[in-house]
Amino acid sequence: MAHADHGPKFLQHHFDTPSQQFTAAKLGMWLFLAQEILFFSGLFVAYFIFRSWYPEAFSIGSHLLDWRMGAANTVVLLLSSFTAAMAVRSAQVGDRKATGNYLLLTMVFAAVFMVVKYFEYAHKIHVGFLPGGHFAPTEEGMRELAEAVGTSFHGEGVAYHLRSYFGIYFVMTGIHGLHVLVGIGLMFWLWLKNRRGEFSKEYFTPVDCTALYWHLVDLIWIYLFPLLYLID
Amino acid sequence: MAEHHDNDYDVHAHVTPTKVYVGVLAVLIFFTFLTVAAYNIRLGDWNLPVAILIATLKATLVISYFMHMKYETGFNIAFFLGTVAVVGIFLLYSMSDTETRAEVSEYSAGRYDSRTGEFASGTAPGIVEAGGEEAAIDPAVLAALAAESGEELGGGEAGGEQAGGEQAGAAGGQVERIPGDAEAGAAIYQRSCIACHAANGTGNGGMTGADFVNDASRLSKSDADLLTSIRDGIIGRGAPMPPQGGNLSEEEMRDVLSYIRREFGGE
Repeated sequence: MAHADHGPKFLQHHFDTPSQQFTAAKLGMWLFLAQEILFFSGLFVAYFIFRSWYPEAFSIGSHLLDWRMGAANTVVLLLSSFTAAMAVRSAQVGDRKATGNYLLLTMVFAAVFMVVKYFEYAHKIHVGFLPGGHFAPTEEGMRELAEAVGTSFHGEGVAYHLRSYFGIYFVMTGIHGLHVLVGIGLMFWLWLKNRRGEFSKEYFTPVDCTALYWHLVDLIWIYLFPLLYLID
Repeated sequence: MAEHHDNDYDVHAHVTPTKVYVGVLAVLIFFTFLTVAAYNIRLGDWNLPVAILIATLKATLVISYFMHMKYETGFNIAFFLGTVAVVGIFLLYSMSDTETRAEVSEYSAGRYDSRTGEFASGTAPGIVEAGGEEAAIDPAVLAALAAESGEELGGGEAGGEQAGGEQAGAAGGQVERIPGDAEAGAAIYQRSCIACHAANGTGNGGMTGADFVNDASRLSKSDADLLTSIRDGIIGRGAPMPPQGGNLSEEEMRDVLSYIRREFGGE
């Protein structure tokens, strides 16, 4: 260290004080989250436009999803948000063991979310409910489709526009799932750092910022769940 | 932020009591059940607004408590709310454009829903709320659509194409066939047609493409008409038939038609 009196180890040399460093990190994190929100907003606008064009296809499409799985995953993500918030709290009060445990729990919930998602995806792919030009229901898929729409169904058009619904479904949940995977990686990184004792009452910025990211992933899902699974 | 007046040196973050987090979690899970319950009541037109309202309440809780927005600096709060406002403008502007476009230009309309024989919401020419049988479709637009697709569309009903085909079939009896090589057509069918019309020619029960096997009106048309449909595609009824003119040569189109006639038309 060039300046012996500069301060604690975690304080980078271009900051005067830990407080300044913390505030700057938080601002940077909010900038990143704003960018994430704007990024997802493009997908949400696409969703609303397609839903307004093809309301029937979106209604049928949502009945082809299992809302129980969506609801279960919503609860799982809410729990993970809670444990992430508790991990930050534990770090703030300097409880290293609890921080590690809450990070582990968050990872477990995130993994459960991905497992449920895997079963949903596997089934959709199996019966041919694929996006865009790949949409080609198998016989099992046709049975599900007939069940979802009832006996009144006899047209090609609505089934045709289901490809738009599944395009939106796979892109939105896919990108969201990618964020969940990244989150798991970040939590693991934090868990390792925490185990090495890098966090303290004075320095918990990475835990705080990662938790912010994680809550945003939860927020996106809070909207995705009713919009994709719960259409009348 | 500096609640303790000792110094500005150390980090002074707000530490939320555990019971607040537990309470917020409980409310969030309650709202999740509420949104599922609202869905099961079948609110109809209110489905979307209610879902958005509940999701926004949940989002507000997550942002305020889990993300500590309540204790953030004023600048970060303003920045975040500004972002939300921008998203709101993006959404409202896009939707007001989409929903009212048909009022401005009837030819930018035309997202024709083959199942109901009506135009998709907001896209029907001269109609703001397309819905119900009384939705009248401007004959000029139909004519334009028909000219585009080389097909005749009956006034808002999906039967035009079909009726024309049946007439031709009935009048002609055993009509003249344009010759083609069905063997060569088989490979072309595998390559260019099978994705939508399926290996058995049913178009997956008419869902992804025309059903040649069970829908007699399809192959009752003349070869010349069918070749035009293959070449130029069909817009209007059902899944659009993409034009194959740039993809297949005239000879290949005759071959594949001959294959379809043999395999699915029983000729």
